[in-house]
Amino acid sequence: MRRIMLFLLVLLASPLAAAEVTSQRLERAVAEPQNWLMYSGGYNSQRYSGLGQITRANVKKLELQWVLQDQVPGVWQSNPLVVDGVMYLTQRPNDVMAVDARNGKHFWIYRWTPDPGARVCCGSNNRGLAILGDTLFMGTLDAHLIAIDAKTGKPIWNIAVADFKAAYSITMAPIVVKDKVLVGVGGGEFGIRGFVAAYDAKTGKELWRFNTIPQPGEPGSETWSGDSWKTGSAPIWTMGSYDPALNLVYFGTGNPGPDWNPAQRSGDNLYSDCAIALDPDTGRMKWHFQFTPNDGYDFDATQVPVLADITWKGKPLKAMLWANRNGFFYVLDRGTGQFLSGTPFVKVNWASGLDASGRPLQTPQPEGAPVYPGNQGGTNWYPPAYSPRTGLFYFSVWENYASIMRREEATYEAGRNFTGGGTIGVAPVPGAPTVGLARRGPIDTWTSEVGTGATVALDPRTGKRVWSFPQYDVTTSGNLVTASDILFTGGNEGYFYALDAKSGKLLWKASLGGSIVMAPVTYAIGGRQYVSVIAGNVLATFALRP
Amino acid sequence: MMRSSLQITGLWLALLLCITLPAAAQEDHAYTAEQIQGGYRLYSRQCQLCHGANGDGVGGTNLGRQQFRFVATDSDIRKMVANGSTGGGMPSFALKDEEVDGLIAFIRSGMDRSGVSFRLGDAARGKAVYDGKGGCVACHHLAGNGARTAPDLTDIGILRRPGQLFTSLTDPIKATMPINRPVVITLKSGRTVKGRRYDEDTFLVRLIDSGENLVTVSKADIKDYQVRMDTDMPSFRGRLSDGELGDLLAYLISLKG
Repeated sequence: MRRIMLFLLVLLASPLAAAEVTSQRLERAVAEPQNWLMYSGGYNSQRYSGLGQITRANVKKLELQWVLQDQVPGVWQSNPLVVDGVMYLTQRPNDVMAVDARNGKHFWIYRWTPDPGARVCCGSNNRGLAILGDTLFMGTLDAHLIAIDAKTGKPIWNIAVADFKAAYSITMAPIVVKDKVLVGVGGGEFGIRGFVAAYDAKTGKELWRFNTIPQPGEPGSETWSGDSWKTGSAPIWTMGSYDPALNLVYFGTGNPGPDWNPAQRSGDNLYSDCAIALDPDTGRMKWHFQFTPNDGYDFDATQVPVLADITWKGKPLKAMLWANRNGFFYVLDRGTGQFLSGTPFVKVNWASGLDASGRPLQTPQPEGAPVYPGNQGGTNWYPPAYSPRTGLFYFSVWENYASIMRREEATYEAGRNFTGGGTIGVAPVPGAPTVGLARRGPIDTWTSEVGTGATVALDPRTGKRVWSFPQYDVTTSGNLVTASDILFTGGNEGYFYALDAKSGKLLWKASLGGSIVMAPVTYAIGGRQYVSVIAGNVLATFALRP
Repeated sequence: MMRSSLQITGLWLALLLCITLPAAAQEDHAYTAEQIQGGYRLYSRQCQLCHGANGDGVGGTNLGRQQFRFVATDSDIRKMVANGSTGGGMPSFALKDEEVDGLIAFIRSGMDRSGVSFRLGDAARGKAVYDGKGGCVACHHLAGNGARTAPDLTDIGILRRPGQLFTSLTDPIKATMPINRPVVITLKSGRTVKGRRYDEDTFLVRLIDSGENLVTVSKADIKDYQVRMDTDMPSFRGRLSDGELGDLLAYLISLKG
């Protein structure tokens, strides 16, 4: 009897007793909310979890279960995966860890040391992993793609996706579609030619490549003056989404290069700053929609495309919801790319509005004048969430924030900055600190005078805010919404929040002492719901007090 | 006077003086906004390739921070530009006098592209103004002395550029850092807290109050919260002579922690 009990206990306790993550499981990832099988939880990138044990009534009973301390200081943007009780995540620069999701204790660590010559604009970031079967996939700062055995942490294959000497890099989490691993490249500040490519998950063999910038003779090449297409950037550095029924995979593309000197690349600069829909089998583009033609502001369209089936003017619509760095919220038809609506969600002065096709009516500001939103945008890469229960779209915004752009001629040299100027935040007093990409310290000396943050719930049907949860400092946090109508989010101040997803009311908070620059995830083991979030150099996991 | 003392004394004293006195302390110079901006334009064309946009492109030299390997005074810089440096590999530049004036002004401004006019005098005399006529210690703390109601100035020469410090002395409202604005908080309990913020977030204000206590105020307890857009710092234009202002500025710039 005792032996049987022991056997049962071992079975229950063994987190590695798990089935393979098949592509069928990935397609139905949302239907197994105990796991977090890909960057955004599911292919629709809603970051909506079906778990509902933590409710608005009991959320105050959340308590810390365990913490995982990052061994490598720096902004920690990684988004964990949770697969049948095991959490897989990356830490700087390109470490992969497998830990027990109940206690944060390590099974293994795999370390890839990127070449010291790797160049990235904005820190040694890595946003996470993808999984297929029992193989994990990670892109690296020196633009490799590495397949790693999820059971042992040993590399299976390792290929160079692009040349890091020309400042190609990978910071995004790859996305697995069927038997392929798709990954894009960063380097938008270095004059790369952006692309997304698909690799055989078993061998690492490249199967197709979609260049975000057409070469002369291809459709769209007429939107680049002279040879500017060669150094036009348009990277892909945030995660994609996938609609299995339409068989389309979606990505947002980054800024054209040089960033701040659009005169050097006259034309619309396709397919920079676009939503693109690709056939995942062939890499052929089905449609594109450009948010910011001939961008002079660094308004990367590198937000995670949110796919939602909504009612639009009385009819069902397979929608794509997109709060863009340029300050407008868009609704697109994700089958065709048709523009349906666009509304500013923060103060915008670089455009007076959008025309019927969604093209911005650009209103360039005089030299030296503030541009709203500022360089980091009204929002940025930090993932939004959408709840099919509330019908609301949740995201983090920077308010009353402006920058002054400086434009100059840029000369291309492989691997060197190719930005065509620069940008400074607008400050009330010369020399006063301004908000930036990430917090530079625990003390806020810039104050709300240079911009504030808010977590916003927006009704996609109207483009209007339903509620805002204001934050004193800006927020660079991703979002997570659950079946019990709780929105988990955070901010640069180091608070981790549970908000009422219907009203925006603060239900619970924890002060974690470091900026939250990833999106929280939730999972369950043995019927117990956990919520994990990274703040500063700590991953903290909460569950209800028993 | 200072030069004669340098000649008389040994090398150890010369070194000591170099450490304790700022580079610009030996001469009294005025730099106009026009010179600074002209200097910036010249710098971006002629100097930036080697010295970099921030003045730190050549090892051992940081022009914005007034860290040099071979020069100290304005006339040293003038000679360096005209003759170049055999030891450091800098070529000579044939520039007009007014162009070099601009370049020096731009460097002395801390490479402040939007620089305002200012005058730099003698830091030793400036210390006397700080301790005496200026009355700075009544509010400011410096290296262990003085009150703490106004910002600590121990490393102000690193934190602020000369033009910004000059504005602080002559038109302080325009130069007050947002975090240093005086706050007046009335709590629901009726108590009033006055002070200067260290940090603020969505829920809390952390400040040093008028009694020099470190205080955290919960915003939930606040009835009225005023961030004053004026300042308790007086303007010293008129209170101090132009010469005294230049000396005081030179002293403040020399404060590097």
